[in-house]
Amino acid sequence: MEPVFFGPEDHSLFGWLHLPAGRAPRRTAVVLCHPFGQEFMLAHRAFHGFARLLAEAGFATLRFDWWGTGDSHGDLEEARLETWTRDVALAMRTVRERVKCDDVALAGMRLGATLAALAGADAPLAALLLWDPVVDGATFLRELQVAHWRETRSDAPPATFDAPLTEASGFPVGDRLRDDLRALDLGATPLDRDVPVLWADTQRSSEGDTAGDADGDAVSAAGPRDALLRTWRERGVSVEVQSLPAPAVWEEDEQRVLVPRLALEGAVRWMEAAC
Amino acid sequence: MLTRETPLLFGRHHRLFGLLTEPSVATAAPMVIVLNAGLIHRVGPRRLHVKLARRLAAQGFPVFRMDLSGIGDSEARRDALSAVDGVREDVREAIDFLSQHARAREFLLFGICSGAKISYQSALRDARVVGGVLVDPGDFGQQATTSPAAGDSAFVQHYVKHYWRNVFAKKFGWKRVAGWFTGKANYAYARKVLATQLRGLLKGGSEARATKSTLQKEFEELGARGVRMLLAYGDAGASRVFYDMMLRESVERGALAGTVAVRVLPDTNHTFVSLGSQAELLRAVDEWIAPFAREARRSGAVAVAAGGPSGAGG
Repeated sequence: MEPVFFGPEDHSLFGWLHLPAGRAPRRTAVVLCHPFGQEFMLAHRAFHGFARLLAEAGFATLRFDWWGTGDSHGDLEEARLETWTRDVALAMRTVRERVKCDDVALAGMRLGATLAALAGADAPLAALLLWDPVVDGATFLRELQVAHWRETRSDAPPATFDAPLTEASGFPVGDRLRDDLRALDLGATPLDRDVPVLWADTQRSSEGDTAGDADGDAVSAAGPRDALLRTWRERGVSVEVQSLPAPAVWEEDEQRVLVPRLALEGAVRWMEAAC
Repeated sequence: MLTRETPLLFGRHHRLFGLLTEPSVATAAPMVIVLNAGLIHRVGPRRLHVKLARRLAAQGFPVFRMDLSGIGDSEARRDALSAVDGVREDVREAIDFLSQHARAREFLLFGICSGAKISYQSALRDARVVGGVLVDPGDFGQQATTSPAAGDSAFVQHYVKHYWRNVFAKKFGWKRVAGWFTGKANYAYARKVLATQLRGLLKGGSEARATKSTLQKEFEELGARGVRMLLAYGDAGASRVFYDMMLRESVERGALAGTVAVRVLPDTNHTFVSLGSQAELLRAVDEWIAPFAREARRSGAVAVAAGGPSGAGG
């Protein structure tokens, strides 16, 4: 694996390029999209493991930090969702240039999955893997605000917050990013019918979805996720749902950095079949 | 002007990773090595290490944020060293590498929690280390250097009192009780301190005295070498309890004057979950580290460039 800075000097992003050892890469490369904020910190090692497993399976893989996050340059307070969807496009261009692949697949977790879907709407994709994506930005903002409250106060969070979210567990949230998140609706994202999509679900792993299950009945329970899946299927999008055998790594304690190998291997197998 | 950042693989088999952040103009200031806080990768808790590195680089300090073996993007060690010896060896390898690669001669170490303990232990063993910022250093790694029995040692004994006073007694309300049923309490540690208490507080007395004596001797040795330390504490952590017990008297008596500076950071928890607490720590580091930059300038080095890393913000 090779550490890389890429992008223009005033928008320099940090990432790792993982190449298959001792063999030519597959014709499809993969770009991995991290979660946001503290969820990214907790999932970092899992993404390290995910990229290694993809490379072992023959996929040249680039994982990178969003502008204003991790080791990438930039001030998070100035970031917005559009900044990051452009980051995905930049990462896809970079991996194409470095690996000379035919096409690129995207895989992301939480907000990273949502950004992958948004970016994928404007670019041809080989496949799209969405690991517990953020469906509704307003709900995500509320989750961030509750998490921040719980980390900084001992009393219970209120039903509604008087002040808007300005920091999320030690990460600044600027006005524009907050507005972007408030308006975020994954369901409004046009997905290409020809792109295979995996919805990888860890939060609902005990609710009956089975690995490889593409049956809509398995996700018929109420909720934004299920409504979104129905909508996509009605539009003819080829979306498969899998429950990955893993806890929500982005919700773990900082003293428990998890690499859910079985789940990652399942995701890699899907990518092999899809590409 | 952009601060230059260079990713570097180093150590045997190039299995360790770090990012070097350099000032836009070279200076003779010591290089700062930032170690992992627990298992958090080199970005640091809530990206604090990135902010720190870019801020210090703007003040003329080259900063190297590294991942220790098996953390972040560094591979696990392939030898048979213990975990404690392994991380010390990682730091030594980093110092050796940076001495060659970046021609650094003097080093400051920065660490939070476990990173602070490793920083302290490395400072004791490596004459190239001239200072350190130790944030919540706990027992300074003393347990690692004494007998296995030290696991139930003075620090834990003292923590028992702290736990009773601050957790059980003071906050024994319905919320605390509810915490026992909702997973909010640290059961493992609570069990340990309670068991330790039951084994008797008297046993801890001699261990406490021995630990205190060792620490004071070590700090005096560091002082004799000219090593300066900033000890930064959250205002309510167990780490502060250990400081109060072991070092506070010496510091306030002036026995460690010139060697140890202490800052208590208000409203700060262990992993800096608020932007305000991060700013407090960064200001404390700025203030403490400024003399090193002045000394570097006086030593005939190139003047420190003004301005920060405009393209590499925190």
